[in-house]
Amino acid sequence: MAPSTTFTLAPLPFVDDVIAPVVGDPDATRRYLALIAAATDRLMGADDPALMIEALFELIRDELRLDLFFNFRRDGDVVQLEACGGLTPAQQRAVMGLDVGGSLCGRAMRERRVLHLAGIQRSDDPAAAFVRSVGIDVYLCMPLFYGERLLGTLSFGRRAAAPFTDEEQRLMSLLCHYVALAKHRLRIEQALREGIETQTRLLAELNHRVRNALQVAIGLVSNEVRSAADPVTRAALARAAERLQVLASAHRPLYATAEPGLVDLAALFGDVIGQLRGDEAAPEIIVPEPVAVPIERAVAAALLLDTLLTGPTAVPRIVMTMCRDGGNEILRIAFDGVGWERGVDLVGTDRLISRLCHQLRATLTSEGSGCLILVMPHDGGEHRHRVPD
Amino acid sequence: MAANIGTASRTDENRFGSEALKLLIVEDEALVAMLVEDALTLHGHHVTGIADTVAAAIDLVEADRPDLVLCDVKLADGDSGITAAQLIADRGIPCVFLSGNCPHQGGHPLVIGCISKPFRAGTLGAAVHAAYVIAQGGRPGDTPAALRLYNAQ
Repeated sequence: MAPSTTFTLAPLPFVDDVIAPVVGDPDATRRYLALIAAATDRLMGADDPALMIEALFELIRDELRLDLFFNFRRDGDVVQLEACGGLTPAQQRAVMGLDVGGSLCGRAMRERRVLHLAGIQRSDDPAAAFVRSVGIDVYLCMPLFYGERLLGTLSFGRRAAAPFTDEEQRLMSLLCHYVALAKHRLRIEQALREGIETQTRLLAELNHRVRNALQVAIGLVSNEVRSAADPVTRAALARAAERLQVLASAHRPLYATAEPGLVDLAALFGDVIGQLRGDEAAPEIIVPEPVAVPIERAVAAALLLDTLLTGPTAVPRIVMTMCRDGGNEILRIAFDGVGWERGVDLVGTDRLISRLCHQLRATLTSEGSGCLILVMPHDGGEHRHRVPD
Repeated sequence: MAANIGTASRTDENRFGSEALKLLIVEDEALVAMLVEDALTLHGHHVTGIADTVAAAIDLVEADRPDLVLCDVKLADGDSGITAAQLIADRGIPCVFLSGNCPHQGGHPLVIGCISKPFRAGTLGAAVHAAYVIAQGGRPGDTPAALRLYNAQ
């Protein structure tokens, strides 16, 4: 004999619809509203999908005279038990091995409908075999949807032969919609967490590979330096290795900061000067506020400094200041030291300096004896400064 | 003799063989632009200019009417090399991308293909030559693997 079954679709009920039938009972209205408010609070603040359902069950079990619940989760074609309550340990083990497809929950998922069954103890429906075996007589199984997407089922059972009233079903339907929303939120958060973890792993791998590749390149060129007999060739190769080292310096801090695309320009300049003139020649670099620039511009600025340092210049005192010109933020860098004013002459004669200034949208001017001023847009945007030809 | 005739009918090496081309480089990285310029000059071509924005590229294309343009995908001031290539191709000038991240499509029959970075300076000349032959409606004898064609037959 089949249990008496009611099939209903699951439209989202409004809170007003849920409490309307009990309006004549002020106590029941108050209890329902309190349950909805408490359930919403717990569901929206939850961070574990299984504990969330267990907490909901504890919240509503007395009011709705519930004896057990099952929550099955559907991931693609896989359906598995997420949480259950009201069962003995042996019954829990049994439900873990349940053929969900042949159960009432499987039927609710296939038919994408709410199942409300009463008289289960007197029925011989094989799909109800498990709930019958644990003494349940009334059973309400609701599919959990987010839009058209089926997330699983949430079902409740009573051992007492008392079918769920219409208002109880509406209340549980509303709570199930909230559960589906909360589960969707948790799935999105989990996907985001996994995405961030993947990104972090990839960034670390990228960091390793970039540094490693640059280090290998430096090693290869340095090896050629050692084996070159001609002093001119050796000097040229040493310059190449030195510039590769500048590139490596610009990339070294790149992936270890909160903003992975930016490089601390003052630190990079200190590093470049240390490489060329030795660590004992630490330059004085005055920076009123941090100057972080995109990697492409940092590399170009560091190569420009490296090229300027190859001339007969002293280790400079460097002052970086920021100012605004119209809507643009301008970075002004003063290099103060013997021989630095001669950098201006190189703009017209040194191809690399000319190209790097063009890339940076930078101008080089001298300001008195021994002072070179580099002015460039800070953000690398569309600042229309005079560009050297 | 027959073999020579046969070769000539399959490719257009002889028609475009040793032509020195006028080339424009659209590239925002100074060092890469210099490397490309040196490599192309070494192959006997003439580099008419280097641009690093869409506007600069169009100005130079209209002023110099190069035979072919090599264009990076990411340009200065946030400009797109894909946009630059489209506008250059619209003006009847063939274009080849030069990028570490080649676009999947050219989007215009005159956007011939893409040379992947990092590239070997030695293959750049052959790749440019092959792209030019294709742009003229011919069939290159040997297309370097570094050149990925968008309308490969």
